[in-house]
Amino acid sequence: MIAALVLALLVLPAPQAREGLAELRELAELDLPGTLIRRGRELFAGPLSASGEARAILARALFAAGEEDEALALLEPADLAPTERVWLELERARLLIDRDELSAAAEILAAPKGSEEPVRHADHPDAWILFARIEARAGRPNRAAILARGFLERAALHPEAPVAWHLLAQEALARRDGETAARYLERAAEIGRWLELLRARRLQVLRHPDQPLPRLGVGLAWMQVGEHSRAREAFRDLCSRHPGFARGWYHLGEANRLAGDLVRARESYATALGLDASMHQARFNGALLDLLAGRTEAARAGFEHLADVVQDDPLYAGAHLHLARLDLARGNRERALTQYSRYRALGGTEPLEE
Amino acid sequence: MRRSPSRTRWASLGALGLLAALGCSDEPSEAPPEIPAERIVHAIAEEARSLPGGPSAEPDRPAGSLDDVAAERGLDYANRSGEPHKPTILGSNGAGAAVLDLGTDGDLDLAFGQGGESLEALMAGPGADVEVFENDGAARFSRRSGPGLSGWWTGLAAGDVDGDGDADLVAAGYGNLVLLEQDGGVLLPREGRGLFPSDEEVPGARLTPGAEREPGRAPWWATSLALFDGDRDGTLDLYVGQYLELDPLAPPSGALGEGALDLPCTWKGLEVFCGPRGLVPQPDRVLRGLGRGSFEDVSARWLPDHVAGYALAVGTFDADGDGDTDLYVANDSVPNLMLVNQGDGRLSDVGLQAGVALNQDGVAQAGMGVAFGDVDRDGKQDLAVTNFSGEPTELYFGAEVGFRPRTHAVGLGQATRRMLSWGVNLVDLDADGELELFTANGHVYPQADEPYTGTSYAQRDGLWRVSGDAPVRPIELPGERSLTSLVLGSRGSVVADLDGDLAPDLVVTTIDGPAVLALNRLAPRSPGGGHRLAIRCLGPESPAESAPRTPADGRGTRVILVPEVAEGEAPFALLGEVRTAESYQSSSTPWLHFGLGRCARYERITILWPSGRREDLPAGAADRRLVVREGLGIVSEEEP
Repeated sequence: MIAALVLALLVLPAPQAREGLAELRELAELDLPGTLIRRGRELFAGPLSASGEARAILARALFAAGEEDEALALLEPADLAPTERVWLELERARLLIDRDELSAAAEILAAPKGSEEPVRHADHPDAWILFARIEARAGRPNRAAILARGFLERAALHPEAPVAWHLLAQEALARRDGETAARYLERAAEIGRWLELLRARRLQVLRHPDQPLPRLGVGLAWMQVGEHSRAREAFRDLCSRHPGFARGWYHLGEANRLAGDLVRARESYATALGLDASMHQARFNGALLDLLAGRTEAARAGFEHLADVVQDDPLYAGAHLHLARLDLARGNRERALTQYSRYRALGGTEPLEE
Repeated sequence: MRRSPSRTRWASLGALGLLAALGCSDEPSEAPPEIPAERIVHAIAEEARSLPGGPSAEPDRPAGSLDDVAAERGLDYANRSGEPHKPTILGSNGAGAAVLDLGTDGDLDLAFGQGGESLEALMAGPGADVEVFENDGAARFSRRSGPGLSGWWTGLAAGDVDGDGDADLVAAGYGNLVLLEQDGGVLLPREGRGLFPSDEEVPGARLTPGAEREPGRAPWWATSLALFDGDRDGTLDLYVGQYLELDPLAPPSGALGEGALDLPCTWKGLEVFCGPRGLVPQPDRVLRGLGRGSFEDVSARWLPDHVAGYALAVGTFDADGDGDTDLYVANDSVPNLMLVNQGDGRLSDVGLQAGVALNQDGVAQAGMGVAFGDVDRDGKQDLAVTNFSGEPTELYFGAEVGFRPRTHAVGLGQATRRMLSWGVNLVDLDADGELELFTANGHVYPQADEPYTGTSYAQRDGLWRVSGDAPVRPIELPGERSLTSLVLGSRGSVVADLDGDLAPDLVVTTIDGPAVLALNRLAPRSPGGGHRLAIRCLGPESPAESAPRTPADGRGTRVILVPEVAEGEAPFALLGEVRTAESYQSSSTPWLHFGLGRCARYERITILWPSGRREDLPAGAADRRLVVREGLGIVSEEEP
């Protein structure tokens, strides 16, 4: 038990290495090869010397920069932990694909006879998409599609997810299913646009590190695809840097709520309201959370405020409905009906009594 | 629209208006489909090791030469494309070239687009003229007076627009589009014939150098042109590829957007000019020829549902073999278009379905140029599309349905991915019966010479043997003046026999530099080889009373040539199609050049005229020029 714990601690990357790896990943994703290569060489000589992923990222950048020999040399089997060596193999396959050496790349990726999965290193999504690209380039769309599906099951928002959807579309086209192909192509385009947006926001963060809006954009991009934990991380970072930015707190509340952390969501809404009392969204959602938590008086206060301040806005018509129901629960039917009629006048269609 | 509230509706704040802009729905994303239970796991693993593809073979170093002789042959054209540090995208694209027979003396003369010293100089005026060079028939050139234009000229298209039997020229520019009709061997501007809107019709579309201009209005920026007969009425129509909105009074610089949400104009972390991404693309236009040099804009009818896409190259070919002319449009950074003609000029984009809009990974590339030819000699047109650095020149083979991407299977990915290629031609230079692939290369960014870009600003042009499914093989020619040795910033390219020896030569434009005239002196690949045949197809002397008709210059005619092979040798057929629109911003010869290898004769020639008529010509000798007129057969036969 203790030995396992010690081993686990040894395998866990040090914070410096973790940060360095995150930095390299970001530089690679943002296509900043000069900075990446300079920084990668520094980190490779220091805290990331044992990281296969870091070597792979650096090799990819060197390859793209025309330093193909150095790149491939970096990917030679090294004295690394087996889990780290996988990165080298995958990267080698990627670079071989770029060199049109499809057979050699397939040799790396194809699973040994009797394996359950078609790819070696099936836990790595990259293995699936790389193999899928090989099959597509070899003119075998049906096989490419099987591998692309395997990839999407493992990494739906990976930067190469649009490639996978495209390969599925090609397979559909090959069997003359234009409708399915069109749907897959649209999905590829949709994820492509989202990835482009996220990249743009991250570039804006790099360009304007002291401005809140780009960081807000990063969080919203994650929200857009339902990655509430990633969004929460982005909004927390935003709020720690810009504690006076009310919109940041509101969206942190939203991310917390959607991630299921209702207590922190309520706190975040409250902070947002403390900074900007006119942030009606935060007040409304906060009141709803109060209602769900049984804090009816707090909820009533929130809804009453909204019913007073934004009484004609259909977006907050729900405030009238909830006030009506609260009044009904208190036995004040006349008042409840008045509130309910306001709700209906704003376009509401739900019944007064649940 | 009234918003419908409900108890469970949470208020959401679209802080940056992102969701609407992205057009993403609130619906849950579609899940990837299930992997079928019967998946062929083992088959994949087992057969993966027998994949095609591999590195390009060792270079081929043929005998003979393809040397640049522009200076000694009097071709002193030198391109000007703005300041050398390229502050705006206008200065990066260069100009194209065209061949046309001025004076109908039987040889092909040359015309070039031209830019200027800077955007500011263009605004101050005067602008540049189209530059014209007369050929004496042996590829010795003398400069002639230009047509007297003033502008920034990009792409050219030559063809018999007015149907009078000689070639005219259409010049595209940044803020203009002009028809130059040939009259007595001279090119004369003809304006006001439906080519380009007046200032009253579309304020700001025209850019007149030296004239006052309102800020905030971008001129129409035409790049490549294609003359074709879309509705088969015998009169040439015009496809105008258009690029993007660039306000000459306030070109973007440094970043696009404003405030904290602006985006730097960078490439690989280096500051570069802005665009095309982030700038507004301009829609392409289709102009229907009305005869005598007049046009009407039929974009709405012939190009419905068109999505504007930074067009850089336009080429014509019969993609589906149905006898009418289809088009391919190479777009910069967005999907390319494969426009299939419905038979009456209406064009439908089937690029995605045909598999030629995106690369094999589904990524839109920066399409720069396009070329056509039957690479695998299967009777179907194939195409090559040039792209940005980091993106290979793509090769697609015509298939029963759509096209088969072959780029990586033949090693062209590895061979070309570091180049930024513009002009492109598929041409049999050495007359061995197989097409070579030529690409004109050079980067858009001078910053490409910085470390870690993986490419360079000046580049060597590329020449490869492409032979069906075999790996492509680079051709290297010795000598510092050889086309494959020069390190240039090439842009447009033109194929034509300029010295009358039947061998197609190459003219290449460069950015901010002299044009290249590469005379083809390649030796036959095998003893007894190197036989050639050049065919010119012309429409009938009197046009048919009703459509379909063949245009006067024979454009769109398809020719199938069957060489007479020696006993025991495998027979083959060669496919040609009369077109001039291919490459980048350029216009090549209307002559068809066939390489017959060791076949000194041809067995037959079948001609499929756009009118629907088919003519079969009997066997004959190679190594000559044939002029064929619809309905009359061979009307001229000449040995070089």
